[in-house]
Amino acid sequence: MRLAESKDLPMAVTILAFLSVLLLTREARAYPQFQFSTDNVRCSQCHFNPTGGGLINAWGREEATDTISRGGDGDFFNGLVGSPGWLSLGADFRVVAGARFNEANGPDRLIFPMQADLYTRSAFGDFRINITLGIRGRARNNESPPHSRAVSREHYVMWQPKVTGAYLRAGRFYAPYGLRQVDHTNYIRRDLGFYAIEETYGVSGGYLKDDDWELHMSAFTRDPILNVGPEGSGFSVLYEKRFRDHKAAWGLQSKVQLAPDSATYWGGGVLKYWLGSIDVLVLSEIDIGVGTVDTPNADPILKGIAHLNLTHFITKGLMLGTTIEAKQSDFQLEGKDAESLTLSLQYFPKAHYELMLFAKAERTQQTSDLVSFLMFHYYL
Amino acid sequence: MKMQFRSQRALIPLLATLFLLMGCGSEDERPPTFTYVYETILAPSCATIGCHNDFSQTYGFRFSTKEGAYLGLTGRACNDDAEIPGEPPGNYVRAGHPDRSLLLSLMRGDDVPRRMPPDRGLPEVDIALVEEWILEGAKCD
Repeated sequence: MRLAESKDLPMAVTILAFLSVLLLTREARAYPQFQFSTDNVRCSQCHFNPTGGGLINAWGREEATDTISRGGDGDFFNGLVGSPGWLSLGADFRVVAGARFNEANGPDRLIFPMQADLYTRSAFGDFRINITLGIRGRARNNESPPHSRAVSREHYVMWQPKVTGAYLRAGRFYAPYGLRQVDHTNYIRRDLGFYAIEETYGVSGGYLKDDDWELHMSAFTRDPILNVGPEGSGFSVLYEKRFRDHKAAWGLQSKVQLAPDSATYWGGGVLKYWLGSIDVLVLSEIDIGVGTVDTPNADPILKGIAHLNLTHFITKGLMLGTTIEAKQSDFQLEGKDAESLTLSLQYFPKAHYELMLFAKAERTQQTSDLVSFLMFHYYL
Repeated sequence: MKMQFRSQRALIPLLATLFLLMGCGSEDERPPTFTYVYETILAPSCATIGCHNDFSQTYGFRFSTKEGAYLGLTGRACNDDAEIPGEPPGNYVRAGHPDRSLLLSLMRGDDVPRRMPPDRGLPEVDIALVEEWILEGAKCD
């Protein structure tokens, strides 16, 4: 409701067209940018998942219509097809066309289906069953067997008497930690065990004290079937506290991952801040990690990641994002650092539709890479 | 309004400090063992979903475990010390001969159709550690 409808749509379209020529792009999934900027305080106000992401609830569908998009009807099949009260359904489809450039490999065309996921959520008393079935995207042609395309990113059973208060769940999902940004290539996702399809199996419990604070604790282990992501098992804790009249939040997170030959301990903080006077949301995260490897003469490895995302809500249905990230995979060693700059322009012409222009430039001591694409997203 | 200003000011030095710290470093004293190479370089860079994990197995490589990675690269089991008769399959790692090990050419993008990983290159300091491991016999230690 905060985003005022602008009369400057032609200007917005011009900017979009200009950037599509000038810039380059890449990817998505959950939208933490809508926290605070839409007057919604918790991720679980719009999502069934207590920590956000995936299927949106009835309020989320209303917000998709009234606040986020420039019109339309956000209901499942525009409200033409109903479902029983205990069952909620949805889907996400994403297609991408763009290119990747780097000195070693030259330009690569990227045209591929990024996501095709169907969501079901069933409610029986205080219990919920959430299942996501889909086909994973594939950014390049390779020889992986066809069966490896089918995947269930999430499937879990949850005890949740109320949307706020206590909950407990068991199954496959990302153990809550830090920001849940849309771009899975962000260092805070890729380097912290939240890369594509790296959802872990585990149990998670938490408490949401209305809009004031929330706490999530998880015990997890790597998916034993897919064997994707960091090896081993661990624990994580995430606490988020809102302040400034529910227009800002700070958070603390910690994660331990133990594998047969290694251990990693992460700790960090998050700051989210809505600057209403200029319609900008600041999302930032810092993480420091210590890793050990069980081999003779191996010193502990100190590593860190910094993430800063600024999103400017230009007008209703149009937002411009800038993300700066830096990481150091080993503070004691030269040449292990990397930085990236991401620009994204997201346009929501109607409920159910999104167009995104994405450009990401990444630099290490030896290489520089550039990825750009235009993404079309349809959600049901 | 005052509060906004203060928070913004606090954020900038915090991030600047961390970004500055990212440049620190010294000589590489890391052990050139396969356990170290696997845990810190191969697993995080190669065993992702679209690439060389147990499920996708692109080009037959399974880097989800140390044993799988060693077998794929050297053509022998991790606990098998027997000498490789002739060249190993694919010639990815030829013990004691970095110059004849395709893995290094792939990582550096030298005389190969595609550098690995394709998304972003590995730091030279990491490739040099893999090279040292090969030079010292490419053991599964």
